[in-house]
Amino acid sequence: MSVEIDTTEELMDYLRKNAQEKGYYFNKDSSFVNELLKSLLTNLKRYGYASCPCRLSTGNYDLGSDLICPCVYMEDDVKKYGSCFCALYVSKDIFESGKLPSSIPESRPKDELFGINYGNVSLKQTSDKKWKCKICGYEHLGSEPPKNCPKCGAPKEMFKEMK
Amino acid sequence: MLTGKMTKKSVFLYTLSTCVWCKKTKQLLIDMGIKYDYIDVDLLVGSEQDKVMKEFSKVNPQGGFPTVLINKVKTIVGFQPDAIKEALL
Repeated sequence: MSVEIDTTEELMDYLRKNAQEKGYYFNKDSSFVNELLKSLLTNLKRYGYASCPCRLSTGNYDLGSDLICPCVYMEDDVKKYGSCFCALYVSKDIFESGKLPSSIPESRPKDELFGINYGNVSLKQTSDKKWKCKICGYEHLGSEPPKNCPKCGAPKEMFKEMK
Repeated sequence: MLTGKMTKKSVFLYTLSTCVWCKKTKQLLIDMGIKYDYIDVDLLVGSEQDKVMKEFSKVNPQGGFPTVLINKVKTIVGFQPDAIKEALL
């Protein structure tokens, strides 16, 4: 069984399920959300993982897995500012009041912002193997597959090497 | 609606093609009738991107997109309509 994500609808279904489980709220502005979904899909296809569309990705999973949407900064940002960095996710208050979220400051630690070691990264990538999650189709670059699939949670054993 | 005052300031944007706040910032400037140049950094590859990011880190050491650079000195980070209007109108 393989669940590939090819459309914004499929991506939204996936994110919605996750949001329901975890009690997250989406921005009520549907055109704003649609723009973000299109961009997330662009990044999913471009980098192999749904990297935050509002931050520059190095394309290297190990340097950028903190930015896979919903990013690791999302919950704290929603608590602190009422929305995540992209404003895809908002707080319950913002959701219920229908207020428009605004642009917020960056919470990602500064040293990671630029992923400056591009040269090294691309050298490293050439020796990396490509792994694919048999459950959801998530692709990972690295010498080994991730402990758990960041997308669907499947264990390491569910990854096969792509050649 | 262009006025002489508006066109005197140079406006340059560092943006990502995927970022919705960046799109909103571009649209705001269009609505304000302000001419601007921009670079979508995520669409650059390899050394080209490194070069622009090095230059960008001097312009805005904190990083973050969009960054609006006015007259090569003043920066406004994020979608900040009030600050943009104040700086340009």
